[in-house]
Amino acid sequence: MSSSARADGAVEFQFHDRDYQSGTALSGMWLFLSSELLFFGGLFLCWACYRIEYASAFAAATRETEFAIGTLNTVILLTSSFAFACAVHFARSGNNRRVVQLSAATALLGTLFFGLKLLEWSKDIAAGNVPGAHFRTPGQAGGEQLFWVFYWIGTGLHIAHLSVGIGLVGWIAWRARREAFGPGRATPVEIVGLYWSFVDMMWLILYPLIYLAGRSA
Amino acid sequence: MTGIRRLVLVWIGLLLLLAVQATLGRVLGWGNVALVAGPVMAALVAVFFMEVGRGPGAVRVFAAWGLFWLMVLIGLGILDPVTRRTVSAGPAGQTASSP
Repeated sequence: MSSSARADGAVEFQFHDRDYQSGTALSGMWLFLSSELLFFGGLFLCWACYRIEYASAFAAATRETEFAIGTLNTVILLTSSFAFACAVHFARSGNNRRVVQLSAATALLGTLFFGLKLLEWSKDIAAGNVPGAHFRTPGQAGGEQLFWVFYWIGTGLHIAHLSVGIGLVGWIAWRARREAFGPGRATPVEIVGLYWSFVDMMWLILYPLIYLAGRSA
Repeated sequence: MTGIRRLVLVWIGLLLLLAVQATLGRVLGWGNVALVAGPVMAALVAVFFMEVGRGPGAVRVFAAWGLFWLMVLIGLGILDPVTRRTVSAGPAGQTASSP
């Protein structure tokens, strides 16, 4: 057993026992995710306000988005979140081999999401959906440009979070290869699982705002 | 294996919800109705993948606290846009905003 694996089982001096230490880590992660929720919340509020103000322009802009890529990416992210939730389950029972496999699958799916997002962005740029002087319909449709501002900031923020998540999931795979996890020693996997699923959750909110809302107009 | 079986069922449920949502938004043109599925799916992820019910009480307090302040942020922020109406100000056809 490596030194890092021994460290996973250790109880730091400020905690009474392992449960207390694990509970504190989980609580701290949820507190962090709550602050993240409000961070994304400001973005959702902006979308709602401008969507009401420029309803038809937002509906028109929504129709310009890459629906197929967005939907495929949602399937990919949901599947990755499911895979890592399974990894958490196996980490608790000490099946590190499964943790390595599922973490690798999660990281691969995350990378696939990233690649498809780059493809989507390139299509958006080619279609002139970048706010500013070179927007496809200059001098009009101010509301459409606002939608694309939301789109670029929202997807950009999300992909930044996803990139951090891919690194964290890779770190878990690396640790699991060294048999780091087992009963009472799965907290790092649980913490990373919370982060990964949170990134998935934020995409589940962004997806209908970007690709579906207002298609009826 | 019951834990894994439950995760599989939730994953399938999420994919079905996504299919319903995409159909509502894309095929039927009910984009605004499809918006509702997003928070429902996010809640399923929170309950089953993130296990919000597991761990110490502080986990649920922090999760509820984040949700509460999100409601305050969006609820108060959206109050003006949803209640503001544009009314006619006179025969000249001028308009004015009324809060």
